[in-house]
Amino acid sequence: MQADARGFLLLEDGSVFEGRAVSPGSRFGEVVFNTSMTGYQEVLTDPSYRGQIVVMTMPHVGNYGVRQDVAESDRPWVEGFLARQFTRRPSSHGSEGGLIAYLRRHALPALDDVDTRAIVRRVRRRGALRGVIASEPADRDRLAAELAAYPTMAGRALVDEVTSTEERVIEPDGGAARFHLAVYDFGVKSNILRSLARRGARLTVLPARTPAARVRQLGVDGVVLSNGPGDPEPLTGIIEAVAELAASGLPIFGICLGHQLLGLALGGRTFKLKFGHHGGNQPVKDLASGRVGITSQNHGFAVDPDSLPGDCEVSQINLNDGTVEAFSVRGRPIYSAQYHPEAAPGPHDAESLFDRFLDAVRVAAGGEGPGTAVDVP
Amino acid sequence: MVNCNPETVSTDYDTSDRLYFEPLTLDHVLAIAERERPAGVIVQLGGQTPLKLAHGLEEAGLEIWGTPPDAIDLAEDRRRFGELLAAEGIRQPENGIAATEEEGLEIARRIGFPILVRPSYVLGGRAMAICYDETTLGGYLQEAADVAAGQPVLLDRFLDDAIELDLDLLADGRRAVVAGIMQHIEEAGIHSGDSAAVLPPQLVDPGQLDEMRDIASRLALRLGVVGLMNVQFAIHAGTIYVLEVNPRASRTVPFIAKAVGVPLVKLAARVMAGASLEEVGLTEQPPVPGVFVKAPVFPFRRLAGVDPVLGPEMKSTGEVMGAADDFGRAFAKAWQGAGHHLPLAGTAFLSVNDADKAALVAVAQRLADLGFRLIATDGTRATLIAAGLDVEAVRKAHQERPHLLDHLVNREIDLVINTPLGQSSHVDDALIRQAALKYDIPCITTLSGARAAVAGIAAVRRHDLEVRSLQSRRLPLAERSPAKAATTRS
Amino acid sequence: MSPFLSASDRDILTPESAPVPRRDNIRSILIFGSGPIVIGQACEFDYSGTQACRALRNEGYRVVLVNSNPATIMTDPEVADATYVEPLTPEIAEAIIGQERPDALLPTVGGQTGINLTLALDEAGVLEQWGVELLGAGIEALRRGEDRQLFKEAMEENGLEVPRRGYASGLGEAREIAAGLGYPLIIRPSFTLGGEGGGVVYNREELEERVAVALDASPTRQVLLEQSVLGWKEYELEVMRDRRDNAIVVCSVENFDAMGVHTGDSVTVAPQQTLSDREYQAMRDDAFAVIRRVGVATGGSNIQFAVDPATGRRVVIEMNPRVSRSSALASKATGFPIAKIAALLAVGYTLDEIRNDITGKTYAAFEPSLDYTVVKIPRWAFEKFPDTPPELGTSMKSVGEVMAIGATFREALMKGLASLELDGDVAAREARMADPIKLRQRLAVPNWQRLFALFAALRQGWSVEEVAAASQIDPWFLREIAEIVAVEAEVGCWDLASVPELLLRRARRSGLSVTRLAELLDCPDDQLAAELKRRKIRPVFKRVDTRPVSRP
Repeated sequence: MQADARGFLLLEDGSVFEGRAVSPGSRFGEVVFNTSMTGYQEVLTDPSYRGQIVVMTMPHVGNYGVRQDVAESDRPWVEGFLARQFTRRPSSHGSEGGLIAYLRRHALPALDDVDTRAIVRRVRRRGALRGVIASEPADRDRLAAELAAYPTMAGRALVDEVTSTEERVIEPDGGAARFHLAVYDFGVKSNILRSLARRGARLTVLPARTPAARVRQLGVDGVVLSNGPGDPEPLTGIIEAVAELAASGLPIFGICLGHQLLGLALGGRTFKLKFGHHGGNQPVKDLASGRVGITSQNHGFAVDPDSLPGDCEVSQINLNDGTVEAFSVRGRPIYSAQYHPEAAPGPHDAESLFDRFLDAVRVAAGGEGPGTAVDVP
Repeated sequence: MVNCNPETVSTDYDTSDRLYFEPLTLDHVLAIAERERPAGVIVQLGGQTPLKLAHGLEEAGLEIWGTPPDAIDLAEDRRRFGELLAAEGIRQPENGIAATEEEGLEIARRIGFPILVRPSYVLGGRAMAICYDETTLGGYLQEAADVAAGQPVLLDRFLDDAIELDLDLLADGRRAVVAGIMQHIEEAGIHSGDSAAVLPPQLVDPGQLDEMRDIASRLALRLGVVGLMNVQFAIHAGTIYVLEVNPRASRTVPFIAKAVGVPLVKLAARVMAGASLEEVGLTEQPPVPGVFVKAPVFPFRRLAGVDPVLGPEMKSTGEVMGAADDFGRAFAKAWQGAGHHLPLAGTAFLSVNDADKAALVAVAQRLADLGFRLIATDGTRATLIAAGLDVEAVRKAHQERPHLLDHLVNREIDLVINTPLGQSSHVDDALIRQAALKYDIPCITTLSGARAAVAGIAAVRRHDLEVRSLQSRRLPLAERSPAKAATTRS
Repeated sequence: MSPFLSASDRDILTPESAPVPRRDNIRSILIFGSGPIVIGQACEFDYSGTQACRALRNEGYRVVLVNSNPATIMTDPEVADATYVEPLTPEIAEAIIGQERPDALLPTVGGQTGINLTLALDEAGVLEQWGVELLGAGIEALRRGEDRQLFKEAMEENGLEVPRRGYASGLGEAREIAAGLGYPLIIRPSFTLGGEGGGVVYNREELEERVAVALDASPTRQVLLEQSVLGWKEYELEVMRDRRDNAIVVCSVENFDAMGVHTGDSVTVAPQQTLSDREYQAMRDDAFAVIRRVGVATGGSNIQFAVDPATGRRVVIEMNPRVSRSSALASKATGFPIAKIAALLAVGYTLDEIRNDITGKTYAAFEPSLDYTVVKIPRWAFEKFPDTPPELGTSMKSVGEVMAIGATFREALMKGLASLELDGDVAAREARMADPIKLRQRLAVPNWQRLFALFAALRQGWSVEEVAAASQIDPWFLREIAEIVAVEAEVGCWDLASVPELLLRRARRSGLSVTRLAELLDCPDDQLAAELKRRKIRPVFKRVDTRPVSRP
């Protein structure tokens, strides 16, 4: 095995962290850390990470290799990937290949043998920082100059870079469709689609800029607003479409970016978190039941609870920092979750949100309440 | 706090301000010290492990709090320690140090058998043995060279039939106060960690206890002990010998602390940090509110094929305390606490070595008085019958069947008293003990243990076992408890 | 309806009538310690019990403690209000209950001893007679956790797979069951400590021998015969649950040794390393289903799983409805004080009401994320018992353990080895393992020196695959050890003056101690130490602090 080149991560505050470039290349992005102890491939392929360099806090990454069917989209979106130690050869019955080979194949720069805790400390102290990951030989001065010109995440509209360009239809798993849902693809994770299809929904996946009129034309039973990358605020056209749909009375379920867009569409505001929530151990408290679930999260922006109109009710909060995790609208079948009920990676504690939403869809479509299955053609 | 054992309270996160889960080796500890820059290092509360690091730490410029490493060395160094004892007029068993097999045998000829041999630094009595002749001693010396290469071997005249005692004290460099004295129930030759023991001593003349206090205090001051110190004594034919001095917290400290209700280690820590004994409120030996028996617990059941016989090498994994107002009941509780049942009636099997035969008579008599049916093998039976006892015969394990083992397997025996032959354990003896172990029949391997067990049986049959909390046991003393005084003063 | 329940969980929601936080209808609580240190129960229960006593006392309850072991912190008179250093027998416990009249009993912090004593008191009607309420886990939960047949039935009702097993209370029954299951088989007596009396049998003769021993060892004279999943990977999850049915995993642990070696005798690693997210999350779901089905209302449980390395198929092996050796380790590994939290949950708090000690800001309702690796290595005392066979099996033989923390597995493993305080150096130990046939046997039959045999084999040129095939240890771990061996070999080619700095750094990061490096470079320790200092190669200490990764 040839020796790997050295490489480094240069942050906008001038700090440099050196390591081994297991996958060469250089890219810019916002540096965030992810606390998931498993699920690196799901992280890599989550389109919400567009524009971000991800530092894994788990020291050993790549232990069980990679495989096609756990990808959350058709390619990795992360700009750069760092861990304490990437595994050279995986050990798992399910592995179809090694992580390092995968990273190289996708020309995704990656660095290990690097003090990830030091990077995390800095990000925690300074907030998410712009950075550049690079392998030697590299011109640090030039990279530093380019980094200074690289846009900050606040104000960045990245949805257009990850959304699909054409409508597509996904049929439910087995049997006839019980519901027909429109899914706005702002960078949708496959497991959202799988979770809905598994529950008998027929899905029409729509490009991000699809007008509300098209949704009405499709005659769907409900709308899902997917996760996605970047700042929701500049997405004014999309926000208008969501507002229109929200007013139409259709059941709506916003997840992550979709939740933020829903907040904006209802007249609220969003703000940037210091370093965001990225990982699978975020405790969320449901205010009505007092129950706590551990959730999978990946977001850098949050909905400001004070900005929401009077008929919006914050129903769940983050137990750690009190930020809004979910809200609903009185009298309207509108639900949201800042976290990822589809998990992948992360705990399944919130999976039943899909059931709850589909219950609401069923009721809105004139069916019976929860627990009664009604076939929707 | 530096410790690598995750099971302990010491490695709980709220025990210390900074906790290092690191190996207790010199390079790791020095690296920690470099980072933390501690004002002092305490090595006397972690057993043998940190003591071994004391010198290296001191050389690296760290301040050892409490007893200085040189005093630790002096106590461990047989030659220097022997000189010190001689200068103080304190007796110890005849002894010598050997670097080679020849030297060892030569010393043996000088001091006479039996001989207790061990390597110079010991942990739980590892690789320690009693040798009765030159052949076994020679074999031992060869083996010892393998275990601790380069380390000399210590030889001591073994005091047969002695009573051993453990004394723990606290000293501040100017004064020493004895915390407690425990008397071993088993005879000398059994590792102190494996011997049942009793606080306060039951069979020792008060004058002798005073003499031990005096010797221990003198040694503590002479060694410059600041903190805890443990002395092991033997009383042999009326004479007091010092067997060993450990200038550190010993295994008996927690037991004594709980029994007398004085937080000895807490006080020791304050003394090491510079307080005097007067300041911490310990100026005289605390009274013992009752009788406290320590019983060891052994892993024999779990380790197949092991002969559950005791010797100078420590084999127990843990201990229990039995507390009561008299010895018999305290022993009974300790015995039960250690997981054995105490038969209150039934059949007792007796088989002892020649040395124990005379003393067995009294034990057997008490068992008979308590209504036990007695059975014994030929030799033992002859002695007992000669003493006028009614004893049935049982065949030895190598004789024709049905023999003793069959009776054990059938659980027709409720109590076994079997002391091993002095020089080498007889095959029969081992089989008896293993069978007793397997079928969970109480098996007592020393005569003093047998005496205690009989006292316990008698006690249990007389009364119900009372339960009392440590707090209530101590309550009348609370007002003058040194611990209390210490906290109010600080 | 809370979103944090799957549809199938809905029927087991804690009733709304559950008590309000900080129960005021009980004043005094009885706690059993685990008694003397024996193989299978060391001072971890002192640690757990001390935490529980302190937590409950802080809450204003009168704590009555019974423990026969005076060499414990928990029997320090300031830890409990009434401390009984008395034998842990039903008669004595009954006398104490009669004297103290406790309102409740927390049976889950005193190990197997505490559980067995509680069950005996229940059977004797003592708890009912004196109106002593069980906190944490009720009698039914304790029985389901301990009784392997009840456990199996409970799991199967929930659709969880357990190894096929059958219960025998005699030899005839055992033979019949064995015929159905096939060999090899695992024999497990019920209600024993650390698997005492159990073992693996490969044929009929061994079966008869072992069943007789196991029947003797079991207080209920029942043994379980279990289909062997030898060679499967073994995992443990430390789970906590509160009265609102919130559940979290505090720590996942992967056993380095495959199934067939008692967890207490196995090298273990936290967090788990070789499960994918899907596999791990599915295991987590199962663990919650287990704790709910067994009915541990509040507190911690340790749940063990086996995973077939070839297919990923997963079975539940067992659960301990109490704090355990593993939970002590998990607490130390994560900084999450399981016993303390369990005690608070038992008196009515919920996870989201208890402050996290480490962060001081967040709550106990979270799952620690580790940015370091923890390795536990057992410590045996076979040198003291030369007559006992050195093989390891399902009956625990170790007398203690060391834990080491490193950034990586390699670093933690090497620190752990340094912590063992073994006499003589490792190289000498390995040198005695030159014979390839004996070496293969040392790899194949678990024994206390196997870790050294792994090093020896890799040093002697065995491939990772060969070692994995012989030992059934996951190749991931073996590759890391092979890396250590490679670094050592590379360092050995240099002397102190010429050794490249990057190599030195790599060696230090692989956990090689100053002593080991000095040996390889053939120079005195202090010279190397000085050189490392000059080159600014400093040891890095990791605080056990899940804060950087867990705090908001």
